[in-house]
Amino acid sequence: MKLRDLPAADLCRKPIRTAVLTVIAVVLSAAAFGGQLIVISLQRGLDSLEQRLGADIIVLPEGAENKVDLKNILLQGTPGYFYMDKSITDRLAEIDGIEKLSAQYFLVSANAECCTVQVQIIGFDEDSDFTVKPWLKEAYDGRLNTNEIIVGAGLSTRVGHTLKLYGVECKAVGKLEKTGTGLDTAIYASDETVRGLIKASAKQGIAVLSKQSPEDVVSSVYIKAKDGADIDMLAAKINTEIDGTQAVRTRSVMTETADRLNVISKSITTLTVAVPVLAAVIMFAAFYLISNERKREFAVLRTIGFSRSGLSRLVLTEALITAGAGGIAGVILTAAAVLPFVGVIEQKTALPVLAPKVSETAAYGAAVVVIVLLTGSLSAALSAYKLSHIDTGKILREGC
Amino acid sequence: MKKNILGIAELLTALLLTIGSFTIFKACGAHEGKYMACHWAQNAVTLIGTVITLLALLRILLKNKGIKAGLASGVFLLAVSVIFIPDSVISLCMMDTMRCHTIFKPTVIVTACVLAAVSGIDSAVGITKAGKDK
Repeated sequence: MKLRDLPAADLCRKPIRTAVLTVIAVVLSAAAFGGQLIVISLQRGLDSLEQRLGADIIVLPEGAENKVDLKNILLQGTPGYFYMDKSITDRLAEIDGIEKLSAQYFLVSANAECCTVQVQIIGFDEDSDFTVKPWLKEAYDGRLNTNEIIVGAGLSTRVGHTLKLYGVECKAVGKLEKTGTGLDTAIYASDETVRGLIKASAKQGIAVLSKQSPEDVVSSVYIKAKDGADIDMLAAKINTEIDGTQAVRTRSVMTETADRLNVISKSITTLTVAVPVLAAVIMFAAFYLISNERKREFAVLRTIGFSRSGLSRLVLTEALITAGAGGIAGVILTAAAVLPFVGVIEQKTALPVLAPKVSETAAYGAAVVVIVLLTGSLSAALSAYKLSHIDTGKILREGC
Repeated sequence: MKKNILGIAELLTALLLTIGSFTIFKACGAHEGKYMACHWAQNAVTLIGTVITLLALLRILLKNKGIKAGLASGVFLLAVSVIFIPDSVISLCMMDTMRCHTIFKPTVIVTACVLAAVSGIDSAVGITKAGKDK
């Protein structure tokens, strides 16, 4: 046997000891990587929501339930609708401090073509829009014609395919980027298309919608304040001057979401720190105890000519093999257990979740493996020092 | 027992895939009396899962090493094919937030990947051993 094969042979000779050390490394890397992955995904989801909204203020019809409905649409993708008089848009335009405003109209489909679930349909004004088009991943040429739609990333409909809404074939001409928010499952259409859908709904016996046409009502108005404008003052001004509406600062929606995210993040971070620290302590203890158990083995190796540095190298190589295998296995298992289930985490926490890109995830994984390798090396270094400084003669004579 | 450890792991994973596909991680249920697209993907997974379970059972019961390796290879190929059933071969529902996308698809893919990994190793080990015995 070659000397370089000795560490692997040692590990194979003691499978239970090797398995225990590897499992400790798996726990360490899984806790560190899994916790970090979830916290980062939640943080990215929140950032994405902030960017996705793209407005400083959202004006809704008065009523607490409308704000709840808006949050459900934004965070969970639960379809909802509420309306206010369209003239409010003109009155808002007269208020100082507003740079851009764009109205949207919310409609809920009765049944989508392939499955019996409701879909949020959002009618938007292409001329004034500043919240939908910036998220177009697959751009369409020109404007949205009648019965043409843009679909969110969370819908399986592809560009060029059609989707039947209230019996009307609508062609998808654009797809938005994934944002991890409830808006990923929405469909965007021009007011003209929405009017057509309302007419189609009336033919199907859902006449209640025809009383609330986009010609007369809107659901929400997204407002971008001018640079330097006091957004709180602007929201207060809208609330005072325009009856029947409530101006909600997008940050207030964000703050409540951020508060909940903080609570969850803190719990996960505590576990992310506590479990790896505990695993590292156990790893240190395990290597220390193993060093006692292996005194005779190392004394024999010293007598047959192994140098101190050779023994240290042997211990460190064994530690690197177990820590490396455990670290890589922990990262792969955690990625397999967390990444495919991002949708479930999103639903259970009711928070926007956006998993990091593959390259970022790989970088986090590599960093965790390096940390596990360092922890393994440090744990083994103590044991290596102890074993390389043993009194060979005494151990062989007395057996301890 | 020690000789059949991979076979037992295959059988347990195949059972999880088969029984789980219509219980704990089943696709979306019937709505207003109608089944959605994902129901057929679920049926396909259950059917192939049943075949894999029978193959894994035979893999444990039969003694011939060559046949064991062949059965493990069959389990491996079927497990790989299951990975592609949800959403690639058979479409699921239209929204990413629906149960078939959030629970059924990822669980089937992860379970099938585990099964493919175990049966792949079993198959490779079995073929090597059967070759040496000749």
